[in-house]
Amino acid sequence: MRRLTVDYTRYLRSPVVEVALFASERVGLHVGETVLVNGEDGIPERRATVISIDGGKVKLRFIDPVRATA
Amino acid sequence: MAIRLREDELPPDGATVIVHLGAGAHNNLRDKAIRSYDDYRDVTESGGLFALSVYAALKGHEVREIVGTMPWNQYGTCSVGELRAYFELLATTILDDALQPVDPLQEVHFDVVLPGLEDERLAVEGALLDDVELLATVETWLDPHVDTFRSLFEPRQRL
Repeated sequence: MRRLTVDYTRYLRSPVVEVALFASERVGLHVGETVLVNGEDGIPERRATVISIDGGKVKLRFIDPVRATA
Repeated sequence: MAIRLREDELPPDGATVIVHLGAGAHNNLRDKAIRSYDDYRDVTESGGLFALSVYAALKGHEVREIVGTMPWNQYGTCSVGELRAYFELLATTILDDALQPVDPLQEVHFDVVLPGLEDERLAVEGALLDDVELLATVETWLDPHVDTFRSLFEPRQRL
């Protein structure tokens, strides 16, 4: 499964996040694809679904909930 | 998603600023500043900005509340005064429907602006995401500034 990084400081616990992707990350990415989101090293990854792609930006909706504590 | 500059007075030097700070923060912080560069083209006359999101404990919002809205409980704090000794601070609101659940904190959202790089390739929107050589140049440029930013927020804390 593809891994993407989001800015959790910006999006906090929002269920939907938007992220700009590098060209190499966009290759073959499609709406409906399930990806793994890695916000920070050491934080559990969460699955998310690609809900839109607009140029270099994608919106993701989280499937997995936040696990609150380390 | 768009950025709006608020016309707030900047917070006092003694106010506490909070950032989400996981392990391996250097690369994560640098990556965030790069990915959000183009988001600031509409609010500056100099192209994009290398900016990092932070929140200030102001207007009744306490550190505990702010950290509690983050998906992980590792964070760092520093004072506005310490931060402004090195970086510009902008009062910014992120305009994005996805942020509605955490909207109350937007009134204390700020961007820390890392120094810009003069490179004509940055004039093209999206170039930073597509040009591998430009990306490497920018990463090298940002590394010392990200180190300074991170050091201001250490040691990492847990709620």
